[in-house]
Amino acid sequence: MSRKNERLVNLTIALLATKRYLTKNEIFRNIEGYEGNAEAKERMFERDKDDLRKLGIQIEVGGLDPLFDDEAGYRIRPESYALSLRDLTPTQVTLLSLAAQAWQDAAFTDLSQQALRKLTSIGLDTDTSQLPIMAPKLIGADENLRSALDALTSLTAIEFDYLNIQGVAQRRQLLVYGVQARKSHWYLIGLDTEKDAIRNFRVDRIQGEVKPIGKSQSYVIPPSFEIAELEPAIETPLAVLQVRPGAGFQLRRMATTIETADDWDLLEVPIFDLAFITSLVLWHGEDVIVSSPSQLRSAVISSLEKVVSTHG
Amino acid sequence: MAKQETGLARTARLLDLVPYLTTHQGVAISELAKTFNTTVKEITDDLNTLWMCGLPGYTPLELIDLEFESGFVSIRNAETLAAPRALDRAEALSVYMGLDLLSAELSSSNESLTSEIANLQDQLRTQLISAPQVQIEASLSSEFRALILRTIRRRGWLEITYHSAATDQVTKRRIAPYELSQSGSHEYLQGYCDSAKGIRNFRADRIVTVQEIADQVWPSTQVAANDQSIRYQVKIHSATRQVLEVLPQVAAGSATATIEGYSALWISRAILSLAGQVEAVEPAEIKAAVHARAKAALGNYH
Repeated sequence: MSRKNERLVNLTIALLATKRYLTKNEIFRNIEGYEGNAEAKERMFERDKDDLRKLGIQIEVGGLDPLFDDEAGYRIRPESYALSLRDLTPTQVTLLSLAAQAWQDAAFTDLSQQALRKLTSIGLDTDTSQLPIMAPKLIGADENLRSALDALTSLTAIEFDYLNIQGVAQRRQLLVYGVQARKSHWYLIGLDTEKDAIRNFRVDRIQGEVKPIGKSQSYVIPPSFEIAELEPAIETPLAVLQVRPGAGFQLRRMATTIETADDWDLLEVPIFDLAFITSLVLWHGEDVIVSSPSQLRSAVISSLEKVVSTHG
Repeated sequence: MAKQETGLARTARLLDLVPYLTTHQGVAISELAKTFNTTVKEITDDLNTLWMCGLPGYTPLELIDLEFESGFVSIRNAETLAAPRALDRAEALSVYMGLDLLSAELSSSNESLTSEIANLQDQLRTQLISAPQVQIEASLSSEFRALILRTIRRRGWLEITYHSAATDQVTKRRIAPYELSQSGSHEYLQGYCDSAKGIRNFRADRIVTVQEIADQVWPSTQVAANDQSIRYQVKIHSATRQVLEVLPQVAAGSATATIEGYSALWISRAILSLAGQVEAVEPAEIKAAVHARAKAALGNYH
């Protein structure tokens, strides 16, 4: 194994140092470690190229001078091999290091440590004088999020079993376009290929494992795609709620308008999801009355009637 | 890009050792092992391998020159590999997302830093083949986080205003914070709460304000971590996703569940919010409390 590692390092050095493309024959002749007959060397070289590409190293293939030879040659461009973030200031290095350290979950430690080592290798001192001393934390990042992010960076479709509203797991297929961390949950956003529509999936509702399907580079993210801001749009219907003064803290945070009065304050709250607002109103018991819309009002009344009758 | 402690991971480490050593001349082998998250033996093997590498010709003139017999490593003649490797796409995305969080935490408090972050994100975006959309929300502002961590370190006291979902009240509490930790998908501040005279967990995203206060005596005696819990039993009428998420102790497919809770108020609010999908069975007080809450609310409509 160590022979092979040595050969891969030597191949990288030679391809990086060369100012022109090296042919296979030059490689076999000059780089240590290529042994056996022509066929064996050939096989070895093909595997080595694959391995270096798996490490993210781009090997460029190009022709030599056509007057002499039209055999293909190989090289690695130093500008594609090396960290392209140039002329970083100590403050920038610190920001990048803090960002890499935000990943605390086991599924991401190898990734963040590797990134951190590369940043440390730049050899700049960090500057924490005007920065938070501690890295913030990205929380709840599990293996499934990791798999989804790997799929997102390699543009590979994924499939997983997803708990639907009824509490039943269903197989879904997704082209991941983006990720979001909102209200302490991770969401994958992308094209649900079966429904042929953009859908959100909460990562902790995935049952079992996220699995890649098919090849990498199998889709492109439409340039026009953007994660929708969760600002209430003009069309978002509003619920009019009467709320006891001093109660309904969460509702007040969501409200677009609040009119205070003695007995009841009047709140307008956007209805992104009728079931969610129904639950939230119920949570507040007698401190909240739904004035409108009638759909929400009757949903709340019938839920209350049901609970009264089952608990009587 | 999945985890791979294979030969390839070793190759990656060999390539990454060179730039690290170049900027950390004289680093101890033991330190190196720690940084690269491996053993001294592995690192020594790596160094022995690197020693055999270099430019074609492989005479001492071309080989990487390493010295490490003393236990401290120095490197020469390794210019070709001296620049740190580019971040691969997964690394670039993870750093990109970390920057997003950093920016969200700093928010408006520091505009020069947030624009610096945006600039770095632009540079990183060019490394991701087709730009993914990323949006990260912070559970705690950097200002609060810094204040909390500082207070934990110097064993001081804080006054926080906190919204409790169970009581639906925002209250001021004086606390001696112990630690910021995560549990499930939430971040919690744990500390000794002076008003409750016990250790309490506060969900970070429900902390409304944080303020430093004059230090009180640090609670010296061991205090009980929790008050007595309440065991209650529920009947499941429909095991929807909402039920499984509000009451994670309910096993999918079961008709009843016995659950441990800590606040009677929280329990009755939660059961009412589930709109009849779950029914409180025991103890009788919980069942009666749910009934009373629903009845009082219904009274508003008649």
